[in-house]
Amino acid sequence: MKCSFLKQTVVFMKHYARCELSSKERFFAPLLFSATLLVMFNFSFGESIPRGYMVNIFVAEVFITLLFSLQLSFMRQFDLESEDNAFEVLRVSNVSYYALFLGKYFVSVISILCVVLPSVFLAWFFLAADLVDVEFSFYFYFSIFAALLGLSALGSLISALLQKLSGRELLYPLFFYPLGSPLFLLAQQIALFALEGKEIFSLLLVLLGLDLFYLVLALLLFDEIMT
Amino acid sequence: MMKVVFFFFFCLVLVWGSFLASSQVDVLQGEVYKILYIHVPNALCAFFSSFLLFLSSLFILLGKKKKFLPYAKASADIGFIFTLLTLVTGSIWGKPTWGTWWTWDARLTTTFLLAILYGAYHFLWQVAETTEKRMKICSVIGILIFADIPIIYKSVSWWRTLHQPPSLFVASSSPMSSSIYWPLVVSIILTLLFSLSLIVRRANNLKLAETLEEKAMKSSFS
Repeated sequence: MKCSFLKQTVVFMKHYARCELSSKERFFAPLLFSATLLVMFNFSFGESIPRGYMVNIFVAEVFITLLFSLQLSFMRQFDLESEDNAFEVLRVSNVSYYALFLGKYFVSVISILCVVLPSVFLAWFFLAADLVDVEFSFYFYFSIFAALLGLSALGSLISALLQKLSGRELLYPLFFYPLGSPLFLLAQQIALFALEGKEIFSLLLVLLGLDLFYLVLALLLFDEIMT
Repeated sequence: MMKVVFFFFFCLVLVWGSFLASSQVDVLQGEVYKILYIHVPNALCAFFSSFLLFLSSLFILLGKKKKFLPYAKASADIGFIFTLLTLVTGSIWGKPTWGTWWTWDARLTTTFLLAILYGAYHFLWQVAETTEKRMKICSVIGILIFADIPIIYKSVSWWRTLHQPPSLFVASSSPMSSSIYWPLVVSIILTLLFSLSLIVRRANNLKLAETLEEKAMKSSFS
């Protein structure tokens, strides 16, 4: 029986969501890693941050923590498929690779959001005393979400690509960070501008355009990897 | 092929030498503007190499033609060298004009990341030992590296940067005077031809190395 594309995507989403929920460490490991990074950052800076730079430091902390913890989440994305040779089965079955990728992609965006939001709160808490007068706009959170849209597409693609290589732990950051940097730099600037109340719409459009570009590219290339 | 490489190199040295020795001086930058004849062509060659990497990767991935593999690797190698040269010459230009060797400008940062990507491609090539793995993995990464080029090019428009906006490929006429514009175009064409000859030469060397490796494998089994 042939399943529609949408139905296949939903089935994959449900499956991957169950996988994410079944192993708690997939959520807690990046979260604890984020918390550790934030503690280290704040301890290193100590009380020496001038008040005028507090917002810049806060945004930088949030985004650097996000980028590092994303790597932890993405690197293990296709571990399950490799362990039980699910990729080989999927290759001979009649499923759409686009549906498989999108299922994985949507679940990864949601699960990473669950890591990022507590991390933002933690970063705010560490600098809370000096950030009380900063207005957290909707666009601050939206810039993080928009960065995740592109980074998740890129992260999933690189994870699938390097899955069977022996040195993937070394190679993954070498490709993920430089390729994801334009998204990261744009989102970081938008978040900063949003907190400072500056104009962000043109930059936001560029970021969303890049998200779409990376998603389409990742979809097309994922199909090539699978075939 | 070696003669062609030397020919273009000789022409390039001759042209650069004559531009550097010319008495023309920029009103604002003085003598230092002349590094433009080296810096801009190097940057364009770094981009051009990534375009060749993209084309080769596309042919490998879609056409399943492994004969383009050496060209992809050669493009990445030569692209890496030209990206480093771009960074070095840009830094030399930056000191007298901006007052610093390096600044966290969007164009500089994204170009530096391009150098890292070219370097990472080299490691990937070493790790992916079989031709099949290289055909798939290196080609996908090659396409992703090329996707970075429009971002580098547009970075001066998207971010507020110290780096000047595009002045060569603009819709209206170039803001440069023709006495600078045309020598620059000559320099760009020669450097592109030189980089192309280097890529072909490097690809031929890679093919030769592969043939020798295959022969050595066969003789060790027989």
